[in-house]
Parts: sequence; structure tokens; C-alpha cells
Amino acid sequence: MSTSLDSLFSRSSILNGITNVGAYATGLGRDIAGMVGLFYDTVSVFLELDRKGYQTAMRQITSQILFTGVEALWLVSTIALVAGSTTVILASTNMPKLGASEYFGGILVMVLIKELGPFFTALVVIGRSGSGLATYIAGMKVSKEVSALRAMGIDPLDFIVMPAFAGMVVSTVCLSVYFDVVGILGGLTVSSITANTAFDISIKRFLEALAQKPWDIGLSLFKNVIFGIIIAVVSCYHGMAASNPREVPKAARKAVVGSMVAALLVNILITALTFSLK
Amino acid sequence: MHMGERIRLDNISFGYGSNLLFQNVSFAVEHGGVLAVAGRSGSGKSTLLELAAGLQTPLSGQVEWKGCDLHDMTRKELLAERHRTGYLFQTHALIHNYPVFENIALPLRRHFSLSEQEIRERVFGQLARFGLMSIATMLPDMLSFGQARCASLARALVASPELVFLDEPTSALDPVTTGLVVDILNEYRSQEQVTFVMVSHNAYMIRAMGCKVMIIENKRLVDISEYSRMDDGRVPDIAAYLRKAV
Repeated sequence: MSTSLDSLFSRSSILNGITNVGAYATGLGRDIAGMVGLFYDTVSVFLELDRKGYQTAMRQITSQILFTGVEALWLVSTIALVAGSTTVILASTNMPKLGASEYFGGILVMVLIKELGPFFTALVVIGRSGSGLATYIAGMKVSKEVSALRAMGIDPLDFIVMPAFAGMVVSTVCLSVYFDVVGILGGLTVSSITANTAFDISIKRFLEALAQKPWDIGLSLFKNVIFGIIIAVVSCYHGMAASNPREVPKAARKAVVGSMVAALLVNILITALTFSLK
Repeated sequence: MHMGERIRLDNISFGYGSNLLFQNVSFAVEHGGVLAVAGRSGSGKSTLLELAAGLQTPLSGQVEWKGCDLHDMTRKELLAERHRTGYLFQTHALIHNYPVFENIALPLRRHFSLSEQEIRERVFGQLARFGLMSIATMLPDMLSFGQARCASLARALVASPELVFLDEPTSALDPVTTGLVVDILNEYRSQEQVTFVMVSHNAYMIRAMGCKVMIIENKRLVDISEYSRMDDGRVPDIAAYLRKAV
């Protein structure tokens, strides 16, 4: 009796497991399709924007840039300074021991400009603005502000989503450039004070390495544009999907987790592609 | 579709999951007509209003504005058609990060080629009618419920819509403000060929605006005049209350 019950339970738990995986995969597929649709609609709205729509959108874009970009400067500065200092100190003190001093500039470009800059910036934007944007839109959805816009003949896509989208992409790119500047200059300055490295020689090596691979800056900017799009699309999608107050915090959580996972995967993909193309 | 009808709902059914709110609901309102929908809490009055305004999609049936099925319209066509409508939500639904002035100016800025001076005149004109000049620069979260409701109503009327949806326009308003709102709506009606579809239990308002009243009961919409032919024992409380009041 107990054997048959055990086998029944194990069979039913396996079936439950398969059902859960199926339901999760279906939900994920639906979310991804929804996000692709939202991205397409947003780009369409952007391309079809008339003068009045542009005027209304500019106000929203400005406020998004202020929130995502300007208000995050202090946090990005702190992280850039810590990441830059750590990278510069480790590279400048360890590389001579390995006889690889000539690669110092290249290491800074690769680590700070290509990898840490875009990714740390994306993390800051996800944590601060992605969650904020999802909560903001979900709140508007629940309080019927989105319906009110539709009732007034104003497309929520061009009033909320598209400006958030544009502001998020612009801010992410600008913040990443800012991260690079603060990370490199700050890192070299801190290193020259604490590890007695020569600032002028270090910056010369860095600039020489950058001049040899100028496309690395382009790649970094490309990554930021993609991260900005991912964060905006994922956050707006989960915000717009909320239908009651219980779903507002859920929207923020889904936006953060979804953006982080998507940004990680895309970062790995871009890095792998750039190395395989060399 | 009668030529004089501004809005028509045909055999509309709607529900959430297996819970059907109403089934095969139909009504029409002529140009310049006023319809008030009443019913018990949770009977789906606000949802019916949202369906009539095309803000929700019915499970079956169709909604027509001036003979055009909303379902057949593209998103752009529907947005363009909404230039001519106004909507007051049960929650005020003012854009929370816009001051009252900007909230009311929003439809004007978005749909009309007006100068800043003209926009100011129209927005302040609306605010003055409601006696709300002092709140023009305030954000919605600084307003009392009644003030927010009036500001929201001012926004619904500022673009001179010809089809107005009002969800409980006088709820939480004091009697003086209720009277003011009714006067403004009646004045607006007398100037323009405006059609009103509203949810209201306010007997004074229903009487003062000469509304045709319908009641949602047992998932159906029933013309209140039908109740006059019924025995009192079969009449729901709310119908009896409204019938006496009206």
C-alpha cells in the first residue's frame, strides 16, 4: 500500500513539476513576446510623433533624464571611484611583477571601459530607475491615470512609455561615459596618492591603449544603448501589466530581476561575439 | 442604429474569469440625452461606463459611437475620436506629477492648436467656474477629495466634449458643491449638444438633470420605468429609493 502511494505521490509530483515548468515557460514566452511588442510599438510611436506629441514628450523625457541620469550621478561617482581605484591599484602594483607593465593601459580599457563601465552603470540604473519606473507606471495604471490618458485621446505609449524609454537610453549612455571618466581619472589619482604610481605615465599608457582600440568606446556605447533599451522595455512592460495595488511591488521586483538577468545574458553574448569575431 | 443615437451598446457581456458581471446588456443614448446608471455596489456600473467609453473590451457584443463600432477602429482612429469625449473617473485619476493647471491643460495642449494665452484663459475659466482658482499650482496629492473631483471634472469638460462619461460625479461632495456641479453640467448641456452617460445614485442630480435612469440588476440593465409596472415587493431597494426621489 505504502509503495503504491509513494509511487503515486512521486508520479504526481513529477507531473506537477512538469506542469509548473510548462506554465513558467509559457509565462516567460508571453512576457518576452509582450516586451518585443512593446518595443516595436514604442519605436513606431517615436517615429510617428507629431509636433504636439513631441512637446509633451520632451517634458517627460527631461524629467526621466533628471531622475535616471542627474540624480544618480553621486552613486555612479562613488561606484566608479571604487571600481576605478581598485582596478588601477591592482593593475599598477601587480603587472610589473609579472613583467606585463606595457599592458597596463589595455587592461584599463578592457576592464573599465568595455566591461565594468557599462555593466555597473546598468546595475545602478536597474536598481534606482528600473524599479522606480516600474512602480511609477504601475501606480499610474492602478490609480487609473493611464486610463484617464486614453480617455483624453492621449496614447500612454507616447506620454509615458516612449519618453521613459528615450530618457532611460540617453541617461544610461551618459552615465556610462561619466563612469568611465570618473573611474579612470579618479582611479589614477587615488592610485598615485596611495600606491605612488606616476599619474602622467599611467594616463599616457591608458590613452595610448585607447588610441589603438578606439572601437572599444563604440562597443561600450553600443552596450549601454542595449542595456538602456532592455531596462526601459522590461520596466515599462511590468509596470503596464499591473492591474491592482498588490501588483505594484511585484512590478518593481519583476523589473529588477528581469532587467538584471536580461542585461547579464546580453553582456555575455556581446562579449562572446566580440571575442569570436577577432 | 438609429440616426439620432450618439452611443449604443449592443448585447454587451463582461466578467472577470468565471464571474460574469452582466450579460447581453444593451442601451442607447440619443444626441443630447442623459442616461444615469444605478445599481448596488459591485454590480459593475463603473465597468459598464468604461466599456461604453471603450476603455475595456467586452467579452461579447459591440459598442458604437455615432454608428461606428469601436472594435473596428484602429488605435489612432479611436484616440482621435476620443478628442470629442470627456471622462470623470471614480478615483479622480489626475496625473499625479502634474499641477492642477497642467492636468486641465493636457487635452488642450495635446489636441488643439491654441496659444499659451488661450490655454490659460480656458483653464482658468474652468477653475473659476468651480471656484478652484487657488489650487491651480497644487499637485493632486495636496488636494482634498472634493477638490480633486472638481479638478478632474474641469479636465473632462475643458475641451468641450460632445460625449461625457461621469462616474459618480457628486460622490463625497458637500451639498453646496453638488449643486454647483449640477448647475455647471446643466449650463454646459444648454450650450452644446452634449450627451451624458453617468453612474450616479444622487437623486437630486438625477432629477435636476432630467436623466433617464437604468438599473443593473441580476446581470441585466433594466429601465427604471419598468419598475413602475411591478409590485413593490419585487422592486429592489435602490430602484424604490430612486423612483421615490425622481
